[in-house]
Amino acid sequence: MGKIWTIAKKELHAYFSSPIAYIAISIYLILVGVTFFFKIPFLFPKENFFEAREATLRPLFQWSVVLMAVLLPAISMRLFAEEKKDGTLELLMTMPVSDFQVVMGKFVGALAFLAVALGLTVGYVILVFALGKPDIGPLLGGYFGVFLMGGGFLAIGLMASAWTKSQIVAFVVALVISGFLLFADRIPELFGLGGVQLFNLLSFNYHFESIARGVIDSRDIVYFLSVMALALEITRYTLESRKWR
Amino acid sequence: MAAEKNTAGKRSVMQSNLVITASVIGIVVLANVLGFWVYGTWDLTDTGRYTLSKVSKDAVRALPDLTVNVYISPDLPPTINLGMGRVLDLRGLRQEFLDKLRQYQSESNGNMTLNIITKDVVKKAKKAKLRLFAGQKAQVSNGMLEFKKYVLGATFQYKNQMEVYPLALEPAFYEYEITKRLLRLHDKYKQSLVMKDVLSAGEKVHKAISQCKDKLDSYKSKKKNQGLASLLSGGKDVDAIRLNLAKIRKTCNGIQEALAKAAALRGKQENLDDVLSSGAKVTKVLNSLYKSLEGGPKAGGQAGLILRQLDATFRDADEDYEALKNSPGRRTIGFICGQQEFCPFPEDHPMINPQLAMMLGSKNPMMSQFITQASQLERRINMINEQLNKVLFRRKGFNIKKIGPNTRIGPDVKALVVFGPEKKLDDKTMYKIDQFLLHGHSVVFFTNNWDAAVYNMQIPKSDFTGRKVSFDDTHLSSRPTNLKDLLSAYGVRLNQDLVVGRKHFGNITVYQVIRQGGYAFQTQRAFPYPLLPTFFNFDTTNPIVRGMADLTMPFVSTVEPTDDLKANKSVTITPLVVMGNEDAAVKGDDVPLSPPMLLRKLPVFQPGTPKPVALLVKGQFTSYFADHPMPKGVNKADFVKTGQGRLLVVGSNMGLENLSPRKVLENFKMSELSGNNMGALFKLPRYAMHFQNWQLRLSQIADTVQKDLVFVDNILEWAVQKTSLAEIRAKGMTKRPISEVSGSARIEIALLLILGLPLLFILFGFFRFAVRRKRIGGLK
Repeated sequence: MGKIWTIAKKELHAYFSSPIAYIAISIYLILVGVTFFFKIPFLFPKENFFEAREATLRPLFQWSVVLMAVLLPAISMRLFAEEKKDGTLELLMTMPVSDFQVVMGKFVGALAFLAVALGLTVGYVILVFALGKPDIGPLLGGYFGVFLMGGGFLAIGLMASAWTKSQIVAFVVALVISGFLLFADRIPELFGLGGVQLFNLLSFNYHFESIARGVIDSRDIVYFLSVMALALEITRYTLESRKWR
Repeated sequence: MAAEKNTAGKRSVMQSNLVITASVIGIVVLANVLGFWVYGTWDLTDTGRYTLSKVSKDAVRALPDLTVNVYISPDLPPTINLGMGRVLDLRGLRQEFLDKLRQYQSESNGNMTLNIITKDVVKKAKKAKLRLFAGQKAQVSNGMLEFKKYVLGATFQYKNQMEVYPLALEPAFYEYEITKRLLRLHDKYKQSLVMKDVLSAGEKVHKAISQCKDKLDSYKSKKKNQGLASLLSGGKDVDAIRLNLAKIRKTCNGIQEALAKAAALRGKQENLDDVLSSGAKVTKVLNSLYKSLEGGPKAGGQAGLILRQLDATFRDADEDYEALKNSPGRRTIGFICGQQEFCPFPEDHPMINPQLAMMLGSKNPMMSQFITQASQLERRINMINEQLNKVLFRRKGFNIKKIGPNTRIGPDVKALVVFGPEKKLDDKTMYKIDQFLLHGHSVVFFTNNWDAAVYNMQIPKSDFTGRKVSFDDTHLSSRPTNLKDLLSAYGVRLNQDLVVGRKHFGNITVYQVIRQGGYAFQTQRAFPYPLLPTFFNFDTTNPIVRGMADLTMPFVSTVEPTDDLKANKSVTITPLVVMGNEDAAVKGDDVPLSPPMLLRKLPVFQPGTPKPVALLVKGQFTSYFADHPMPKGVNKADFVKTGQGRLLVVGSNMGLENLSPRKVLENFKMSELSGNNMGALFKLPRYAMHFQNWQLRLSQIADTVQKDLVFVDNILEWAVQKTSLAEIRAKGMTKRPISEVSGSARIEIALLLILGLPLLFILFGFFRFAVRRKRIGGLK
């Protein structure tokens, strides 16, 4: 656990030692602000916050997950691809840490980055509390849901990053998988496959919406943890595979 | 050898890794599959919105052996169109509905069985009387292109009683809707034990009718090219029916036998009376069918028509039996009658006593003719009221009761309705309403500020014969009621204005007589009519209006809370329906009633501040009689000065006007029939005109009235709802408004959060870099 934490700290430090983290989080905050305050007629249609006059952060969370689906693969694309390209991965593997610890360390570091990005939206929480009496349940559920979903995106990003040396390829692969899982519940609508329940069960958005109501449901947690576990295990397997190639 | 060992080692590493990965995949899949069936939820909402309340838990535990059949189309569409550009998202609804029902199941201590119907679900749901809804996908069915139908609902079966949740599309109100049905089921079963004989008699009659219907249906025409008789009969083979008449008679005679056995119970329960009446009607139509068929094959066309008529009577009988089955446990709604309200009850005592009238008019044949016609008119009015009562209320499961000036409100009455009185309420009636409200009950007022006649029939005063009838009576006058006075005591101001819809309104059909040469033709024409404004602004958290897309109210006035009421913290004020921004509330004197003139004048009316047209007030009220002298004869010791109650005021009578012999036979006195007083004779055309004007007014806005009935039904349902349910419903209300923010403050807040926050974060980054550089510089 100590080794995982050490790698995580190193990763987090690496994020904030370059301008990338600041630029990425700032873009995220600007876009979240725009989607929160202004009327959006598509994807998750919503009114202007002041016109809708409702003390809720639900639209912020809904749009956050869409932005995260792009931002987090961009952040995680470098995690292994860069190390592979620079040849530092072999160096890392010579250290007394297992592949599992490396994968978990990088993942926890990325999760901490996600927590910082989410933490910076606290201004919106203050705003809704200052203007009204929001229900605390959907608020907590929303943050928890975005965090779980973000964890899923990061694990997928990590997995894609382990597959290739090219960061761009890793980003595109992660983006496609994340996008598919995020909007899987909309596939039946797009392709006229009404009633295929499997798409709902596979969808990030479906499980997120359930948590964002303010209900922590064990099925949603199991789902998100499963996606993370699966992606991280494939990442570990991919790293491990160099031993028999 | 070493290379071989190396390869074997690699293979072993690969294999063990494959095992680990496969195990992880296996665990993940298993956890998800198991987790789907065994799961737990933690409701974080501050109202416990997703946790069953005690009332719900008690309700399900009170029904041992409860069976819930869930009907869910397996291919539910992701969204459906609700009209007016509204789209309802159905994603996740199936799961949420099932989850909610499973919550009830787990709280039932093993008493509840949940069956999920998956095969032929639409067909079965239709049979179970669930409501189907159309998706956006069209399909060809029976050679016709139609939208595919779906279902999402449930039936709740307890012993021999059943309740239906016909359409479950609002997850926020699942608990409210389910618990409401469970409580009703409980009451229904308990009450059905008391009315066992009534229900059993009704069931026997219905069974006999069903057997007769099935027998007739078994002679369905198999011919491809159906003849006229077959077409007229709705697909039945008239010839086969004729040939098997004896068998049919034998089966259908069962109806008469059942009716004869149930006759002793007539008058015991209104819904049973309806079943017996519809049974009698079926036998009457059957008799005419027999007669027609005995006339030989030539009478085929007529028999076909009778068979079609028979189908309609079978349907009526079905509906009446359904109403009887649902009647146990229904809560009673009292209708205040006596001041020319909409009061759908036949008169208890006829205005024209036939025997006395005959005695008075026996010597005069003209008078005798008058008596016959006036009595016919009275009977017709009573029949219409009886029919309105049955169709508008009893068949829908509302148990309504007439509360006349001398009737005491019994303990069975759970809500009172004052439906558009045209005259002043007397003190005693006001006292009754007042004390009923203050004792924690619901009182609903449908107000009727205006007597608005748009091209009604009239007979000039100079015409004693009553032959010069014209359709040109257009007038607007205020009704001499004292509702304003009564309502102001409860903090509700009923304004003497008229709402004019400037953009959205319904149509009025105007009838006119055109004379050409010696002939008169009656014509009709529909006009858009701004005095039938359509409203879209509802309090969507309230079940009365939450499912409504729009509501058109005829001749509606605004209702507002007074300043005192607004300041009163012990009441909750809910504006149920509010005018739109484009609507105008104007003084009655300024409004021309003629549709073309009104449309021309429309730009003159300026929209003002939108006001409510239906207002709901709950909480502590002070009696009207706290400031007014009490009526004579009431027991002052029983007087309650303040009390909790629920008051709903609607600024319109929804187009339902009073029809009573007293109003139609205006100023009629039996004494007028004595002697040789011929004055009464000349009144007859006017009496007929009054009656026809009632029909005319209703038919002018028939579409609006028909659509408005949902609103009236919802109000009645709300009025008799148990208070414990209101708490559950409140949990579903999700609106949490924010305070008003000025335009400039909005820009400042948005800029601060959209740009200020990232800027601050970037500045922090710069600061961090600067500190690091300094530290590294220091080290160097």
